[in-house]
Amino acid sequence: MSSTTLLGAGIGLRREFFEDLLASERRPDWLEIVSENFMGVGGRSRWALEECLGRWPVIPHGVNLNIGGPDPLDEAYLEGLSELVRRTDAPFFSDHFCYSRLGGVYLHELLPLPFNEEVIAHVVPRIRAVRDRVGRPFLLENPSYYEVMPGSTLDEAEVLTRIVEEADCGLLLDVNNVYVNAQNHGYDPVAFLDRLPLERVGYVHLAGHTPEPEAIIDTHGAAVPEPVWDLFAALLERTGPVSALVEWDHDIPPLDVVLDQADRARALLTAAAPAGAES
Amino acid sequence: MTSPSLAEFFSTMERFLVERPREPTWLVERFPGWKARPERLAIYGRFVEGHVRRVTASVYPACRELLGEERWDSLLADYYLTRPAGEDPRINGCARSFPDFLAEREDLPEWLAPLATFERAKLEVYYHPARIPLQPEHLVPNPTLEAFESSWLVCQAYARFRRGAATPPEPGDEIALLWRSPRTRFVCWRAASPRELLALKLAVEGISVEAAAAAGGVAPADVREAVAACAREGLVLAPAGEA
Ligand SMILES: [Fe+2]
Repeated sequence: MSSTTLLGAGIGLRREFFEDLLASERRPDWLEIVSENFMGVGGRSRWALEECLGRWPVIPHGVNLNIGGPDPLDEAYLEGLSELVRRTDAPFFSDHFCYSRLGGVYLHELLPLPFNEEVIAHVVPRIRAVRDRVGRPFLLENPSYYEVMPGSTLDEAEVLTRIVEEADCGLLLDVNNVYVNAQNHGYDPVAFLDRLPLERVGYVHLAGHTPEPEAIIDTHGAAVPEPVWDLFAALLERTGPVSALVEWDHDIPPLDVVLDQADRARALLTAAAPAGAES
Repeated sequence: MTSPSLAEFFSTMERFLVERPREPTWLVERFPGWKARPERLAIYGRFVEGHVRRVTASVYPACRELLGEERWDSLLADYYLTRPAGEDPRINGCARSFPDFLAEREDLPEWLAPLATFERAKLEVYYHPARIPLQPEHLVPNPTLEAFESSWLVCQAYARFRRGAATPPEPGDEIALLWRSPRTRFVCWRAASPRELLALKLAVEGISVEAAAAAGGVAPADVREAVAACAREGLVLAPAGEA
C-alpha cells in the first residue's frame, strides 16, 4: 500500500473512548493512535487497541520521533515504533516536522525549527533512515508555530515542499495548523496550500483551536471551527477525496460529538468524489 | 541578522527550555536582529513546563491534595529544574522520578515520598506490559504485582483520599501490594495481611497447600480458602477449577 491509501473519515482513539467506541453502533472509518501511548504498554490500552484492530484500520501517529532534533534518532524508540507499525499493520505512519528532545530529555512539545537549508539537509536523511528502519511509508505533518525561529532564510511552504520531495515521503496536512499559522503570521492559507505538493497528501488533520491574547493556540480542545472546514473544502477542490482525521485531545467531549465531526468530514469527502466514484 | 548554525540554535533553545526557565527576552537577545515577539516565545516555555506540571499532578493527585496548592506549586517549580522528562518518550515518563526527587528533600513531610511511591506504582501497574495469564498451569503471582515496604500506612491514606476525606498517612509498618485486575484491567491495591502473604508465598515458591498448612500449623482448608480469596481478586492466578 502507498501513502495515499484512502481511509475515509476517522477519529483519534483516546482512552476516554475505549468502552464507548467498542459499544457504539456509530462507526468512524478509521482510527489514529498516538504511537507513544501504545508502545510497550499492556492493560486497558493494549486491550482496546487489539479490539479496535479487528474492526478498523489503525494508523500510528507519533509526537516524539524528534525528526528535526540534534540528538541521534532514538534506537529504542524506533524499535518500539517498528513493532507498533507491524502490530497495527498500518499502511503508513506519521510524525511532525519539529524537534521534541534536547540534551537527551524529551520535552513533550512540538517545537518549531528554523526554515533554512541546514534544517532541510538535517531532516531529509533522518526521514529516509526512519522509513527504512520501520519499513512503511512515512508522512510528515506541518505543525503550528507561534514564532519564526532565528536563522530562517526560507519560508514554511518551501521547506516542507523541499523536505517531502527530497525525502520522497508523504505529507500529513494539518488543515487547522495551516489556518492557525496563517492567522498568527498574517498570510493567505489558500495561497499557502497552493505552494505545497498536494499530490503527496496522505491524510489530513482537522482540529479545533483557541484564540488567546498573544496568538491563536493549536489546542485540539474544541470542535473544528467553520474557517477550518472552509479551508478543508478548498483543499478538497484541489486534491479530490483524501483521508481525514478529527483530532480532539483536550477537554474531550462525549464520543458522539467527535463522531459528528467525522461525519461532517465524510460528507465533504463524498461530495469531493468524482461522480460515480466511491470515496 | 547573522544566521546561527543549527547547533547554536539548539544549544540556546536548550538553555531557554531545559537548563532553567529563562525570560523570553533573554532568548531574543541571543540572536541579534531576530524580530521575535517575546510573548510568543513565552508560549513554549509555558507549554514545556506545563506538561511536566500537568502530568505530575495527574499521576500524584493524593500528594497534591495533601500538600496544598501553594506548596505543590513551588515544589513543582523545583521538580521541573531536575529535567524530569528524561529519556522516556512516553508522556508519563516525566512524572516517574518525582518520588525520588521528594525522598532527597529534607523540608517535606516524611510520608510524602512513600505516598508518591504508591501513586507511581499505581501508574506502573496500570500500564504494565505483562499479559495476565487467565489459565496458568499452576498457581502464579499476578505478573503486574508491585510490592513495597514503608513505615507509613499509605494504603489507608490513599483509600481516604479516594473517599474525599484525605488526611496524611499515619506511621506504621506496611507492605503495599498493587496489581492489575485481570477482569477490569484497573488497579487493585491493599496493605498485605497474612492472607495475601500466604497466597503469594505459595505462588512464588511453588509450595503445596498441604506443605504450607503443615508448616504453619493450620488446616489445609484454611490455606485453600486464603488462596481462593486472593485468586478471586487476581492477586494470584490459579489454574482453572482451583480458584
Ligand atoms: Fe495535527
